[in-house]
Amino acid sequence: MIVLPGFLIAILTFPGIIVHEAAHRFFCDIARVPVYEVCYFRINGPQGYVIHGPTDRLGAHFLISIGPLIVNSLLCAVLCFVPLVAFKLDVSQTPAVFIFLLWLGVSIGMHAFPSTQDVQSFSAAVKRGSGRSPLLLIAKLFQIVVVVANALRVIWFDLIYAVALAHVPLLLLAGTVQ
Amino acid sequence: MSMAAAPVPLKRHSYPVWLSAFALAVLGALAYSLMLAEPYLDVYLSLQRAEAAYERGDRAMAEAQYTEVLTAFPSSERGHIGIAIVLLSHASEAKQLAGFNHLTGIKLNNSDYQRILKVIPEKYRGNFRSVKK
Repeated sequence: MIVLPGFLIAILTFPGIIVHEAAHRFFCDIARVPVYEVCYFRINGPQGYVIHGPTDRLGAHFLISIGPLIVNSLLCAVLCFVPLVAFKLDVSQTPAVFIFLLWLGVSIGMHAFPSTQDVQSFSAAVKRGSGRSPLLLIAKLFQIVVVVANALRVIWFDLIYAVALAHVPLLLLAGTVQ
Repeated sequence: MSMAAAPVPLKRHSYPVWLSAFALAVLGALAYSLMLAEPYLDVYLSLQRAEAAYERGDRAMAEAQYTEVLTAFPSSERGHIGIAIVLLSHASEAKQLAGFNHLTGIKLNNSDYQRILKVIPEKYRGNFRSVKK
């Protein structure tokens, strides 16, 4: 297994970090939650963060915590689609821009998952807002998934997720063909 | 007595210029991908239909779909190999020759070569040579 230091992964996949933090900031603005400090990208320490004020609205918490997961995942799937089809067709002289799109898509997909802190605060908000409801169970399950996913980053789970996600549209399309 | 200033929130929807430029670049890449998506989507579906048709023994459909792939992307090696396998498994010698011609100049990996060996008539087998890919 290839082991790369975190700062090198951050440099290689910097678009994903910027998109993730920008999505946090954007959804804070949309939800009218005050933002006090933002770091969109840095090499050492937390590679990016958004410090925002509290909110008691569950919808706002959902947008801020889960929004980047949705934005990064969608961007990854769309950006990788054309290059992956071109590689499947094995077309000679694949344009260099396709390599760029694939790198951009995978980089963004690798940083789709929320941080453990994001989902913990989301679960806490669900608990405050709805008590012991099925929604809390879903939030807790999601929290476990995210904690495990973040722990598995040491074995490249983020890259595996991005590559798998990039293939989802192809698999769905292949499934429609009889 | 010590006093601490209350934190001042950032102005809503006020982003650094470089971030706006970065967002524009990503949106540009997204727009470019979406512009290209339709033809690639059509060809990918043709390829899937061709492979599914061949699997169920519908060679006419497979040939037609592979032809569509090659019309859109004449250099698609997967298209050439696919249609070659379809045509080589045909009883007609003219089709077999056409199928063999699709393989001209293509470097086959072992998996594709084995698929071809299953259908290629004996007389064409000596026309392959080992090369370093």
